[in-house]
Amino acid sequence: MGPHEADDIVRATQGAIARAKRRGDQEVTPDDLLIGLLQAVARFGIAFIDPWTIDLEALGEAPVEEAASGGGSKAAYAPATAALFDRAAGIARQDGASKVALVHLLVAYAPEDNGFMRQLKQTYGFSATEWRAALARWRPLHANGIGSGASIDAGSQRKASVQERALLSPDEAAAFLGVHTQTVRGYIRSGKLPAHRLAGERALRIRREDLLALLEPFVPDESGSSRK
Amino acid sequence: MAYFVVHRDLPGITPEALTGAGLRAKTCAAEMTAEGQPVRWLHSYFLPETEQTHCYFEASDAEAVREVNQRANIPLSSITEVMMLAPEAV
Repeated sequence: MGPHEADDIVRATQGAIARAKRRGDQEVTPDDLLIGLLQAVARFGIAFIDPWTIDLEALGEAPVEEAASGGGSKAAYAPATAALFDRAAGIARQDGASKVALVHLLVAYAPEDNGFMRQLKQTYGFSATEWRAALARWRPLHANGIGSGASIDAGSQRKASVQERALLSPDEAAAFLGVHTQTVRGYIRSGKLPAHRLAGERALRIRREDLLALLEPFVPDESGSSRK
Repeated sequence: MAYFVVHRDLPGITPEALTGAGLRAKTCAAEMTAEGQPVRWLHSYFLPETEQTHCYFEASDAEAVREVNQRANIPLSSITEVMMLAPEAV
Protein backbone atom coordinates (compact mmCIF):
# COMPACT_ATOMS: atom_id res chain seq x y z
CA MET A 1 0.00 0.00 0.00
CA GLY A 2 1.16 3.51 -0.54
CA PRO A 3 2.35 5.91 -3.14
CA HIS A 4 4.76 3.39 -4.69
CA GLU A 5 2.01 1.30 -6.16
CA ALA A 6 0.86 3.99 -8.56
CA ASP A 7 4.46 4.38 -9.72
CA ASP A 8 4.58 0.64 -10.30
CA ILE A 9 1.72 1.00 -12.73
CA VAL A 10 3.40 3.84 -14.58
CA ARG A 11 6.57 1.74 -14.85
CA ALA A 12 4.57 -1.25 -16.03
CA THR A 13 2.72 0.74 -18.67
CA GLN A 14 5.95 2.28 -19.92
CA GLY A 15 7.28 -1.24 -20.38
CA ALA A 16 4.05 -2.21 -22.14
CA ILE A 17 4.20 0.79 -24.46
CA ALA A 18 7.89 0.15 -25.17
CA ARG A 19 7.01 -3.41 -26.15
CA ALA A 20 4.38 -2.19 -28.61
CA LYS A 21 6.83 0.31 -30.10
CA ARG A 22 9.54 -2.29 -30.47
CA ARG A 23 7.09 -4.32 -32.48
CA GLY A 24 6.46 -1.24 -34.59
CA ASP A 25 2.84 -1.32 -33.53
CA GLN A 26 0.67 1.72 -32.86
CA GLU A 27 -1.51 -0.20 -30.45
CA VAL A 28 -0.70 -1.33 -26.93
CA THR A 29 -2.37 -4.73 -26.82
CA PRO A 30 -3.59 -6.61 -23.73
CA ASP A 31 -0.49 -8.83 -24.12
CA ASP A 32 1.80 -5.80 -24.02
CA LEU A 33 0.16 -4.63 -20.82
CA LEU A 34 0.24 -8.04 -19.13
CA ILE A 35 3.90 -8.53 -19.96
CA GLY A 36 4.67 -4.98 -18.83
CA LEU A 37 2.93 -5.69 -15.52
CA LEU A 38 4.83 -8.93 -14.99
CA GLN A 39 8.13 -7.36 -15.96
CA ALA A 40 7.51 -4.54 -13.51
CA VAL A 41 7.38 -7.06 -10.66
CA ALA A 42 10.00 -9.44 -12.04
CA ARG A 43 13.56 -9.85 -10.93
CA PHE A 44 16.15 -11.66 -13.03
CA GLY A 45 13.42 -12.34 -15.57
CA ILE A 46 11.26 -14.16 -13.02
CA ALA A 47 7.84 -13.00 -11.88
CA PHE A 48 7.22 -14.97 -8.71
CA ILE A 49 3.50 -15.28 -8.18
CA ASP A 50 3.32 -18.07 -5.66
CA PRO A 51 2.94 -20.97 -6.43
CA TRP A 52 4.16 -20.20 -9.94
CA THR A 53 7.61 -19.13 -10.96
CA ILE A 54 6.78 -17.30 -14.15
CA ASP A 55 9.93 -17.33 -16.23
CA LEU A 56 9.49 -14.42 -18.62
CA GLU A 57 12.79 -15.16 -20.31
CA ALA A 58 11.80 -18.75 -21.03
CA LEU A 59 8.52 -17.45 -22.43
CA GLY A 60 10.49 -15.26 -24.82
CA GLU A 61 9.95 -12.05 -22.89
CA ALA A 62 13.41 -11.07 -21.75
CA PRO A 63 13.50 -7.82 -19.82
CA VAL A 64 14.16 -4.76 -21.92
CA GLU A 65 17.19 -2.71 -20.99
CA GLU A 66 15.73 0.67 -21.69
CA ALA A 67 12.37 1.92 -22.77
CA ALA A 68 13.45 2.54 -26.34
CA SER A 69 12.66 5.96 -27.72
CA GLY A 70 10.83 4.19 -30.51
CA GLY A 71 12.10 6.62 -33.09
CA GLY A 72 9.22 9.01 -32.57
CA SER A 73 6.58 6.32 -32.87
CA LYS A 74 3.42 6.58 -30.82
CA ALA A 75 1.34 3.85 -29.33
CA ALA A 76 -2.20 4.11 -28.02
CA TYR A 77 -4.06 1.67 -25.79
CA ALA A 78 -6.14 -0.70 -27.88
CA PRO A 79 -9.85 -0.79 -26.94
CA ALA A 80 -9.42 -4.24 -25.38
CA THR A 81 -6.55 -2.88 -23.28
CA ALA A 82 -8.62 0.13 -22.23
CA ALA A 83 -11.36 -2.27 -21.11
CA LEU A 84 -8.88 -4.04 -18.82
CA PHE A 85 -8.18 -0.75 -17.05
CA ASP A 86 -11.90 -0.30 -16.47
CA ARG A 87 -12.22 -3.86 -15.18
CA ALA A 88 -9.25 -3.30 -12.86
CA ALA A 89 -10.89 -0.13 -11.54
CA GLY A 90 -14.00 -2.17 -10.71
CA ILE A 91 -11.89 -4.81 -8.95
CA ALA A 92 -10.07 -2.12 -6.95
CA ARG A 93 -13.42 -0.72 -5.88
CA GLN A 94 -14.67 -4.14 -4.74
CA ASP A 95 -11.37 -4.55 -2.93
CA GLY A 96 -12.05 -1.36 -1.00
CA ALA A 97 -8.83 0.15 -2.33
CA SER A 98 -8.56 3.90 -2.70
CA LYS A 99 -6.44 3.48 -5.82
CA VAL A 100 -6.03 0.98 -8.60
CA ALA A 101 -2.91 -1.05 -7.85
CA LEU A 102 -0.85 -3.25 -10.11
CA VAL A 103 -2.37 -6.35 -8.54
CA HIS A 104 -5.86 -5.21 -9.58
CA LEU A 105 -4.73 -5.06 -13.19
CA LEU A 106 -3.27 -8.55 -12.89
CA VAL A 107 -6.55 -9.83 -11.41
CA ALA A 108 -8.40 -8.23 -14.33
CA TYR A 109 -6.68 -10.75 -16.62
CA ALA A 110 -8.17 -13.78 -14.79
CA PRO A 111 -10.98 -14.44 -17.30
CA GLU A 112 -8.79 -13.78 -20.36
CA ASP A 113 -8.29 -16.84 -22.52
CA ASN A 114 -6.26 -15.41 -25.36
CA GLY A 115 -2.68 -14.54 -26.13
CA PHE A 116 -0.15 -14.41 -23.34
CA MET A 117 -2.67 -15.14 -20.59
CA ARG A 118 -3.69 -18.30 -22.41
CA GLN A 119 -0.02 -19.21 -22.71
CA LEU A 120 0.47 -18.67 -18.97
CA LYS A 121 -2.59 -20.73 -18.12
CA GLN A 122 -1.37 -23.57 -20.32
CA THR A 123 2.27 -23.42 -19.27
CA TYR A 124 1.59 -23.29 -15.55
CA GLY A 125 -1.70 -25.16 -15.61
CA PHE A 126 -3.92 -22.75 -13.70
CA SER A 127 -7.52 -21.63 -13.98
CA ALA A 128 -9.01 -18.15 -13.66
CA THR A 129 -9.99 -18.98 -10.07
CA GLU A 130 -6.49 -20.14 -9.17
CA TRP A 131 -5.01 -16.96 -10.66
CA ARG A 132 -7.33 -14.82 -8.54
CA ALA A 133 -6.60 -16.92 -5.47
CA ALA A 134 -2.84 -16.63 -5.98
CA LEU A 135 -3.09 -12.85 -6.38
CA ALA A 136 -5.32 -12.59 -3.31
CA ARG A 137 -2.40 -13.72 -1.15
CA TRP A 138 0.38 -12.35 -3.34
CA ARG A 139 2.96 -9.86 -2.18
CA PRO A 140 5.33 -8.67 -4.90
CA LEU A 141 9.00 -9.31 -4.18
CA HIS A 142 9.54 -5.74 -5.22
CA ALA A 143 7.48 -4.59 -2.31
CA ASN A 144 10.33 -5.46 0.07
CA GLY A 145 10.73 -2.41 2.21
CA ILE A 146 7.51 -0.90 0.94
CA GLY A 147 4.91 -0.97 3.64
CA SER A 148 5.37 -2.01 7.23
CA GLY A 149 4.42 -5.66 6.82
CA ALA A 150 7.29 -6.57 4.52
CA SER A 151 9.20 -8.81 6.94
CA ILE A 152 6.08 -10.59 8.11
CA ASP A 153 5.05 -11.19 4.53
CA ALA A 154 8.43 -12.69 3.73
CA GLY A 155 7.91 -15.18 6.55
CA SER A 156 4.47 -16.21 5.45
CA GLN A 157 5.63 -16.55 1.87
CA ARG A 158 8.32 -19.03 2.87
CA LYS A 159 5.70 -21.06 4.68
CA ALA A 160 3.58 -21.24 1.53
CA SER A 161 4.44 -24.97 1.55
CA VAL A 162 2.12 -27.89 1.04
CA GLN A 163 -1.08 -25.92 1.57
CA GLU A 164 -0.53 -23.85 -1.54
CA ARG A 165 1.81 -25.61 -3.92
CA ALA A 166 0.46 -26.87 -7.22
CA LEU A 167 2.73 -29.95 -7.26
CA LEU A 168 2.98 -32.46 -4.46
CA SER A 169 5.16 -35.50 -3.73
CA PRO A 170 3.39 -38.85 -3.17
CA ASP A 171 3.79 -38.42 0.60
CA GLU A 172 2.33 -34.93 0.50
CA ALA A 173 -0.46 -36.11 -1.78
CA ALA A 174 -1.29 -38.88 0.69
CA ALA A 175 -1.40 -36.38 3.54
CA PHE A 176 -3.56 -34.08 1.44
CA LEU A 177 -6.06 -36.87 0.77
CA GLY A 178 -5.78 -38.32 4.27
CA VAL A 179 -4.74 -41.77 3.01
CA HIS A 180 -1.60 -43.89 3.18
CA THR A 181 1.24 -43.23 0.74
CA GLN A 182 0.88 -46.78 -0.58
CA THR A 183 -2.72 -45.99 -1.50
CA VAL A 184 -1.53 -43.01 -3.54
CA ARG A 185 1.12 -45.18 -5.23
CA GLY A 186 -1.60 -47.73 -5.97
CA TYR A 187 -3.73 -45.02 -7.62
CA ILE A 188 -0.71 -44.03 -9.72
CA ARG A 189 0.09 -47.64 -10.75
CA SER A 190 -3.51 -48.32 -11.72
CA GLY A 191 -3.64 -45.16 -13.82
CA LYS A 192 -6.33 -43.65 -11.64
CA LEU A 193 -4.06 -40.76 -10.66
CA PRO A 194 -1.77 -39.05 -13.21
CA ALA A 195 1.75 -38.46 -11.94
CA HIS A 196 4.78 -36.81 -13.48
CA ARG A 197 8.50 -37.29 -13.22
CA LEU A 198 10.78 -34.31 -12.84
CA ALA A 199 12.97 -34.28 -15.95
CA GLY A 200 15.78 -36.81 -15.53
CA GLU A 201 14.90 -37.65 -11.94
CA ARG A 202 13.09 -40.40 -10.13
CA ALA A 203 10.99 -38.12 -7.99
CA LEU A 204 7.28 -38.17 -8.76
CA ARG A 205 5.09 -35.12 -8.63
CA ILE A 206 1.33 -34.97 -8.61
CA ARG A 207 -0.77 -32.00 -9.61
CA ARG A 208 -3.08 -30.75 -6.92
CA GLU A 209 -5.99 -30.56 -9.34
CA ASP A 210 -5.50 -34.23 -10.26
CA LEU A 211 -5.97 -35.08 -6.59
CA LEU A 212 -9.16 -33.08 -6.48
CA ALA A 213 -10.29 -34.84 -9.66
CA LEU A 214 -10.19 -38.14 -7.73
CA LEU A 215 -13.10 -36.97 -5.65
CA GLU A 216 -16.40 -38.50 -6.62
CA PRO A 217 -19.68 -37.06 -5.43
CA PHE A 218 -21.27 -39.08 -2.64
CA VAL A 219 -24.87 -39.79 -3.56
CA PRO A 220 -27.01 -40.98 -0.66
CA ASP A 221 -29.38 -43.74 -1.76
CA GLU A 222 -33.06 -42.99 -2.04
CA SER A 223 -34.20 -44.97 0.98
CA GLY A 224 -32.26 -42.52 3.09
CA SER A 225 -30.43 -45.33 4.87
CA SER A 226 -26.69 -45.67 4.71
CA ARG A 227 -26.88 -49.27 3.53
CA LYS A 228 -27.89 -50.65 0.18
CA MET B 1 3.16 25.57 -20.84
CA ALA B 2 -0.52 26.28 -21.13
CA TYR B 3 -3.72 24.95 -19.60
CA PHE B 4 -6.52 23.25 -21.45
CA VAL B 5 -9.94 21.90 -20.62
CA VAL B 6 -11.21 18.81 -22.37
CA HIS B 7 -14.97 18.43 -22.57
CA ARG B 8 -16.43 14.98 -22.90
CA ASP B 9 -19.95 13.66 -23.19
CA LEU B 10 -20.03 10.25 -21.62
CA PRO B 11 -23.61 9.00 -21.44
CA GLY B 12 -23.96 5.90 -19.27
CA ILE B 13 -20.41 6.12 -17.96
CA THR B 14 -19.70 4.07 -14.82
CA PRO B 15 -17.42 5.11 -11.95
CA GLU B 16 -15.14 2.20 -12.91
CA ALA B 17 -14.81 3.46 -16.46
CA LEU B 18 -14.01 6.96 -15.19
CA THR B 19 -11.28 5.59 -12.95
CA GLY B 20 -9.94 3.36 -15.71
CA ALA B 21 -9.81 6.32 -18.07
CA GLY B 22 -8.02 8.41 -15.45
CA LEU B 23 -5.38 5.73 -15.02
CA ARG B 24 -4.90 5.53 -18.77
CA ALA B 25 -4.58 9.33 -19.04
CA LYS B 26 -2.04 9.39 -16.25
CA THR B 27 0.12 6.63 -17.70
CA CYS B 28 -0.01 8.04 -21.22
CA ALA B 29 0.92 11.50 -19.94
CA ALA B 30 3.91 9.93 -18.16
CA GLU B 31 4.91 8.20 -21.38
CA MET B 32 4.67 11.36 -23.49
CA THR B 33 6.60 13.32 -20.90
CA ALA B 34 9.31 10.64 -20.96
CA GLU B 35 9.38 10.98 -24.75
CA GLY B 36 10.10 14.68 -24.37
CA GLN B 37 6.60 16.00 -24.99
CA PRO B 38 5.50 17.12 -21.53
CA VAL B 39 1.82 16.85 -20.76
CA ARG B 40 0.17 16.55 -17.39
CA TRP B 41 -3.35 15.64 -16.38
CA LEU B 42 -4.23 18.00 -13.55
CA HIS B 43 -7.71 17.01 -12.48
CA SER B 44 -11.20 16.35 -13.74
CA TYR B 45 -14.76 17.08 -12.76
CA PHE B 46 -17.61 14.76 -13.56
CA LEU B 47 -21.04 16.37 -13.85
CA PRO B 48 -23.52 13.60 -13.02
CA GLU B 49 -26.56 15.57 -14.15
CA THR B 50 -25.32 15.97 -17.71
CA GLU B 51 -22.92 12.99 -17.78
CA GLN B 52 -20.12 15.23 -18.94
CA THR B 53 -16.58 15.56 -17.71
CA HIS B 54 -14.31 18.56 -17.71
CA CYS B 55 -10.68 17.46 -17.61
CA TYR B 56 -7.85 19.90 -17.09
CA PHE B 57 -4.43 19.39 -18.63
CA GLU B 58 -1.17 21.27 -18.68
CA ALA B 59 0.72 20.97 -21.97
CA SER B 60 2.70 22.91 -24.54
CA ASP B 61 -0.18 22.94 -27.01
CA ALA B 62 -3.63 21.57 -27.71
CA GLU B 63 -2.18 18.94 -30.02
CA ALA B 64 -0.34 17.31 -27.13
CA VAL B 65 -3.60 17.21 -25.18
CA ARG B 66 -5.38 15.64 -28.15
CA GLU B 67 -2.64 13.07 -28.47
CA VAL B 68 -2.60 12.03 -24.83
CA ASN B 69 -6.36 11.45 -24.98
CA GLN B 70 -6.07 9.52 -28.20
CA ARG B 71 -3.32 7.32 -26.74
CA ALA B 72 -5.39 6.78 -23.60
CA ASN B 73 -8.36 5.82 -25.74
CA ILE B 74 -10.73 8.33 -24.14
CA PRO B 75 -13.27 10.06 -26.38
CA LEU B 76 -13.55 13.84 -26.27
CA SER B 77 -15.82 16.53 -27.64
CA SER B 78 -13.56 19.59 -27.53
CA ILE B 79 -10.26 20.98 -26.31
CA THR B 80 -10.17 24.62 -25.21
CA GLU B 81 -7.32 26.66 -23.81
CA VAL B 82 -8.13 28.09 -20.40
CA MET B 83 -6.72 30.68 -18.08
CA MET B 84 -6.35 29.29 -14.59
CA LEU B 85 -7.50 31.44 -11.71
CA ALA B 86 -7.08 30.56 -8.07
CA PRO B 87 -7.92 32.45 -4.89
CA GLU B 88 -4.30 32.58 -3.77
CA ALA B 89 -3.29 34.26 -7.04
CA VAL B 90 -5.77 37.14 -7.02
